[in-house]
Amino acid sequence: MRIIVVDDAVAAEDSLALALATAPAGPGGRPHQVMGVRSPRELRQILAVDRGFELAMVDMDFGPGSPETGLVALRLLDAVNIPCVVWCADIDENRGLLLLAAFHYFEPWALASKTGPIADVTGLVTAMEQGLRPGRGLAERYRPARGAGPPLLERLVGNATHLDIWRALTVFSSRPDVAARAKVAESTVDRFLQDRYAPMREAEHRLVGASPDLEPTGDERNRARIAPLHAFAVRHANFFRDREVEQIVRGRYRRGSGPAAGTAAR
Amino acid sequence: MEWGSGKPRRRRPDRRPPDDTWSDHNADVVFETAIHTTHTLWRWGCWVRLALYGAAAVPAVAWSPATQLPRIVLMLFPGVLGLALAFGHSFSQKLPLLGRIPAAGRLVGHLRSVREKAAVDASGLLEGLGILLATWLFVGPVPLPGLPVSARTAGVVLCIAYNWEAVLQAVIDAGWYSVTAAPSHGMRVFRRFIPPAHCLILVACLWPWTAPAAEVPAQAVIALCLSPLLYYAVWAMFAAMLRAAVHSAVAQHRLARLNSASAVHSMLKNSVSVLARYAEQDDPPPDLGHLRSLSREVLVGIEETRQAIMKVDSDSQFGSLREVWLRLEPLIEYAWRGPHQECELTGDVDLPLTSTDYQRARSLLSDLMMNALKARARRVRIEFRIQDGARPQLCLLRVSDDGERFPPGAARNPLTSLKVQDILLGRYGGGIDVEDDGRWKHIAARWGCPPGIVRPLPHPGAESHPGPRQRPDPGRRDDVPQARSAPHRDGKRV
Repeated sequence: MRIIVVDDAVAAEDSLALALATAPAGPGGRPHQVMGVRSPRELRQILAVDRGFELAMVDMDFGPGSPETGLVALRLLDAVNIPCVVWCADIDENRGLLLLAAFHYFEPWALASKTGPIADVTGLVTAMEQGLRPGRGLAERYRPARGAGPPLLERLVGNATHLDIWRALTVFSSRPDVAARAKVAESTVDRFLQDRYAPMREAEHRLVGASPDLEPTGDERNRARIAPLHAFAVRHANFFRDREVEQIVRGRYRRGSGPAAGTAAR
Repeated sequence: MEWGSGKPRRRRPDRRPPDDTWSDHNADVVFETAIHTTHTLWRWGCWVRLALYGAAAVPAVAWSPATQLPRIVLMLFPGVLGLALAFGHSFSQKLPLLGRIPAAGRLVGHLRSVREKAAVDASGLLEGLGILLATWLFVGPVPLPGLPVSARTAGVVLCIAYNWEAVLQAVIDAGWYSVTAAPSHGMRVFRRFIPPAHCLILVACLWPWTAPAAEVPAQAVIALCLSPLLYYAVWAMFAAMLRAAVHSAVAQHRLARLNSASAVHSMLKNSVSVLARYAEQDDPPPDLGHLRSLSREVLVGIEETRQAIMKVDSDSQFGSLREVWLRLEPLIEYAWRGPHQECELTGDVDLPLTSTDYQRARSLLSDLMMNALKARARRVRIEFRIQDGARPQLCLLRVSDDGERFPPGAARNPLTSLKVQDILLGRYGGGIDVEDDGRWKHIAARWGCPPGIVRPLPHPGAESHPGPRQRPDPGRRDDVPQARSAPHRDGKRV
C-alpha cells in the first residue's frame, strides 16, 4: 500500500515506515511504501502531481509553522477520495473539538493515538488492506451519534453569528464586551448563553468525561453561564479561531460523496 | 507627591490587607501604568506651570508702577524656587547636576526619597507658598493697587489655572496606587474630599476682602471657585484608563501563556512520545542506536522549543544547517575524547531548509557526529550540499573524521547504528554511504523530496565556502546585483 503521512514531525512518518518495513508484507505481497509531508501546504503540492495513495495518516495540529489545522488536510484528501485515519498525539485536552469537527464533517476511517504502541497502527493498516471495517475504537467518542436530533457539533457551534460570539468569548468574559466585539445585540448573546450551555456541558462530558452539571436555576442564569462558557472558549480557542471551521460554518465547503472506505481492490 | 495648596500631611504607612496573588498582580500593573503616565504628565506639567507663572507675572509687572517692583519680585520668588525644585523632581536625570551645588546634597536626597510616595515634599510646599503669594498680587489681603480690571482678572485666572494644574497632580498621583507604600485608609477617604476642600480654599482666597480684590467680576470668581469640581471628571477618566490597562495586561499575559504552552506541546510532545513508544515496543525489540538517536533528538528539541518561544518575530522559516550545528554542539561536547580541533562546516550551511530537511539533518548530524566522536576523532568536517553533484535531486550531508578506521568489511555492515537511517532515507531515493580513503572516513547521507515538493535553492554566487568540488567559473562576473541569502563567512566568492 502507498501511505502518506501528514504530520509536522518527520519522526511520525519514520516510525510508521520502520514498523511497516519490519512487519510482514501485505496480502498482495507488495511492500508498503510510506511518504510524508509536513503541512497542508505541502500536501497540496504533492496532491497536484501524485494522487495514487491508498491511505493517509493525518495529524490535527501542525505546530507554529502552519496556521492550518488537520481539517484542511482532511478536506484536501476527501476531495480526491483518499481514505484517512486521524493520527493524534494527545487526544484529550484542547484538540477535542477539532476531532469532533473532523469526525462530523469528514468521516475519517479511524482514530489512532501516537502515544499507543505502533503495532496498533500497523494493525489498522493491515485491516484496511484486507478491506475490514475498523472495530469500535478510540474514534467512537468523536463520531456523531446516530439518532434523533441535530448532532452535538452543530448544536455547539451554531451558525456564523454564533461563531463570532464564540470568538468574542475567547477574549472577553462580560456580556456587554462580548456583544460589542461580536457586533450583535445583548439579547442575541443572552439567547446564545441559554442555548449553548447544555451542548457545552455535553461536549465536555464527551471529551474528558466531566460530569454534566445541573443547570443553574434562578434569575442569575445568564450571569452564571457566561463564566464557564468563557473558560470553555479559552480552552478551545484554537478551534473557534480556526479559519477552516469558519469556512465550514459559513457553508463554503460542501462535503463530497459519502465516507471513503478502504477496499482490498484498490 | 506635590501639594499646590501647601497643607502638611502626616505620612502613616499602613499595611494592606492580605490578598491573593492575582489581585496583587493587578495592583502591580495599575501602579506601573500610573507611574508611566504620571511621569510624562509631570514633565509636561512643569512646563505648563512655568508658562502660566510667567504669564501671570506679566500683568503684575506691566501695569504696576516701578515702586511696586521689589515687592512683586519678592512675592514671586518663592514660586520660582518651587518651580525649579519641581523641575528637579520631575527631570530626575538632572538631579545629580543639582547635587554639585554645595549644600544642595541634602535637598537632592530629600527629593529622591519622596518620589512616587503619597507624601509632602519640599518642592510642593514651596510651590504652594509661591502660588499663594502670586495670587495675593491680584486678590486677597495685599493686592497690587491700580491694576486695570482685565489685567487683574487675567492674572487671577492664570494663577488659579496654575493652582488647578498643581493640585490635579495631587489628585491623580501615582502614589495613591502604590503597592509598596500604600496610602492609609484615612488618606484614601481624604482624596475624595480634595476637590470640595480646594473649592473652599479658593473661596477664602478670592473673597473680596479688599477693594481692589472686589474689582474682579463675580462670574469669574464663581467659575474659578467651582473649577476644582472638574477633578472628579479627570479622576474618573484616569481610573477608566487604569482599568483598561489592567484588562489589556491580563489578556496579553494569558495569551502569551497559551501560546507558550501550545508551542511546548506541539514541538516537544511529538519527539518525546515517539521516543517513549519506541522504547516500549517488544516486537521487534528497539535498536539501541536508534533509541539513542531519538533521545538526542529530544534534547535538541528542548533547546529549539526554548528558542522558538523566546523569539519575538515569529517567522516560521526553519533554520539552516549551521543553526542545527550550534544547537547540537553543546550537547555532544562531552563526547570528545582528547584534544581536538574545531569542526569545519562547508557547503550550503547557511541556506534555510525546509521543515523536512531540517529535521532529517538534525537527527542525522547528531548520529554521525556521535559516531565520529566515539571513534576518537581529532578533526571533523561537515559538508552539506542542497544538490548533490552526481544526483541533483538529492541533498547531501557528509561527515568526515580522522578517527579510528572501520574494522575491515564493516563499510556496508548492516549492524551499524545507521542501518535504520539507511532504510528511512531509501524511501526517497537516498541512503547512507560509507567510504574510507585511508586518512579520512566519510559517511554520506543523501535524501530526496516527495514528488511535487520543491526545495529552496541558494542564489548563484552565494556559496559560503568553495569546497573541493567547486570549479571557479572564469566566465561569470559578479557585477549583476543579486540578493544574498547568507553572509559570507570568509569573503571568498566563486
